[in-house]
Amino acid sequence: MNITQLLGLTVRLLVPTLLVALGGIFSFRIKVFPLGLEGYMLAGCFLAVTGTYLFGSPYLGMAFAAILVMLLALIFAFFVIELSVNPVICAFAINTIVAGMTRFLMIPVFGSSGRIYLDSALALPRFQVPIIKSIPIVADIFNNHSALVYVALLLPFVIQFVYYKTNYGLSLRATGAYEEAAVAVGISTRKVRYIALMTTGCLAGLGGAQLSLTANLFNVGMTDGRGFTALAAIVLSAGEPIRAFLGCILFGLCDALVLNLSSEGIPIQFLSMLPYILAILFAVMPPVIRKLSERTAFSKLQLRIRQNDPEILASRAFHHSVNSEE
Amino acid sequence: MKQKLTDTLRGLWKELIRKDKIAHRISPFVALLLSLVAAGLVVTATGANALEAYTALFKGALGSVSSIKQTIRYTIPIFLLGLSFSVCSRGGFFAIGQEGQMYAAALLLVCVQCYLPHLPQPLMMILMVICGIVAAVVCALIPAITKHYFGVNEAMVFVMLNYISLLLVEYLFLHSPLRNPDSASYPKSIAVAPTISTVALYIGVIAILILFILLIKKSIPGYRLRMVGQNTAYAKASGLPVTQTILFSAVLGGGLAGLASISEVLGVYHVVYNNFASALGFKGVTVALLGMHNPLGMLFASLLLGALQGGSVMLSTTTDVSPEIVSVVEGFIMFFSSVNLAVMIGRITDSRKRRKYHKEERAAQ
Repeated sequence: MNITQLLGLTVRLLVPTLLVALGGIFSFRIKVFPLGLEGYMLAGCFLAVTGTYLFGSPYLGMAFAAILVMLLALIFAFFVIELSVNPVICAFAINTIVAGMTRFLMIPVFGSSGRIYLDSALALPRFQVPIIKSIPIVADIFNNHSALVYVALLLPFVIQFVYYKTNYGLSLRATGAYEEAAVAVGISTRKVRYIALMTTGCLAGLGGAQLSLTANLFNVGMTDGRGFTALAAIVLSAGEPIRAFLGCILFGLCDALVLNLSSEGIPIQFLSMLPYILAILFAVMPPVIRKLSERTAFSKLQLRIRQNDPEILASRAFHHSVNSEE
Repeated sequence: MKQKLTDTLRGLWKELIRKDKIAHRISPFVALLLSLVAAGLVVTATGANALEAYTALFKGALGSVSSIKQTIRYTIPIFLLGLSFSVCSRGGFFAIGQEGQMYAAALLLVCVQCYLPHLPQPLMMILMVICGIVAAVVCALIPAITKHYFGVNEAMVFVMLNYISLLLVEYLFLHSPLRNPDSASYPKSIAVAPTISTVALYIGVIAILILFILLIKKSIPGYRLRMVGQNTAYAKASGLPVTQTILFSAVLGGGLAGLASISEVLGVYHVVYNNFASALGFKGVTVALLGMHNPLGMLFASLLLGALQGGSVMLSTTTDVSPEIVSVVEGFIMFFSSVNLAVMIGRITDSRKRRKYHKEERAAQ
């Protein structure tokens, strides 16, 4: 397999994770840690295949998945916002329910357990993009993908715009940063939260739909931790859409390498581990560095006091005189 | 004498039906009922008979001596994981990484078997128990430390550690001396020799339960734990060693998860598969929620989950409902028991009071 094929595969593999990660960022921004992404994504996979099977069109299947997963997210939002349930517990409950439901409903819906293949006539249509098609190397990477791939590749920039240039983005950031202040300036934080959590569901459902419809099949547990990979990308990016995009490219490349190397008997577990290790490192490093630098600054100050640094002595004397005047 | 007795009884009854407490007390039962109804609706929607399925589940779980044994076998690890989650949440952090801790413990057990195979059995057993506990404790301490010192979200670190340890186990059971030579493609470890008998397992779990109750209700560390968990700022102001207490709860939680792993590997499987703990991961959380962090409550909750697991075998043989419904029921239990009925009722009455107040205000104007 050559490099361009590998990159083409990367583009195909990164899109589901990217959609899910971009959805998760909306939750992340309002300080609800999006641990339910795995469940949303799996529900999206299952519902997209079901919808395609029922309505006979992959696009209807996709819409079906997005809407129903959005409703699932609405239930989650209701529990978290109105009933003040711990979002972590609620998210894992949803993951468990979805995992069980998809297993359970396989037999009643499709009449087979484990794995279901869709008819190849129902495959997602692939597009030949006019200009890209004619450029030699770029064509191998970016041509001949389904519609949602192109949408997803533009989406980080759209969401960046939404965050930093629209009213809703401002309200969202304000709600996440300091809720009382947001309420004080008249933002309906409840509405902002509902919209954010439901957008998470919608985008994660679309990501799941993309995953199952590109492969044209559903199998039990097909997300296989991809929701948490998306979470890792969110943690890496600290909630910035474009940085999350970069993270997803990295993880997509890892995924493509895993697919290639596993057939050759090379141990790929460490490559699959990479997103999780990076996520922990990126979550832990900034506070550690901050703490260490604070500590060194503090100890430097103490050292200067101990060595009777004239500057420090002068400022101390100044403060002393000000205080005694009062 | 008689008067005194009736007075005590009346006092107990009044305590039991105190208005502010009753919602709190019945909320696990409501959660259970709701989840059974919800899962029943799912079963009915697929055209099967829900009542028949539940009857089969019940029979499969408690119908005969062997099935009761099976139920208890499933109950033991779930109960230990419930205790583990509960003790950590008392210390104020959210330990959802029991799965990873169990893998780490199992990995070290296999290492002992592999590299020190000629030790006498009792010595080996002791070494294994110590190693298993230490591995799980280390896995539990990482998120506790990063949370406490650097303010990192512990749920995220736990989830990532779960995946890391799962993949590590998969790698080592495919490409290292720990690999079982009989299984070529499926990750599986070499056989682990020491055996804990079923009776010893039962006695051990009861001993752990009693120790746990004593620790939480009667000892100084237990009291500190409760104080830190309920109000960290106050505990700090009263001069309690907050950091030590939180780390202590992590150590305890990790140790319990390690024990669960040991009971599974040495008591049941005698070999480690790469995903032997994956079904157990979040059952501990469910148990702690349904049992409302009360040791005896958690015992009943884990018996319930164990019964669901044990009964699922019967479900697949006698009805055409797939046994996967059990995990749906579990999910619903976790979902509904996360809602505290007392909080919910408090909210509703609050908003009603507010509305009434506003109405009166308007009428007065």
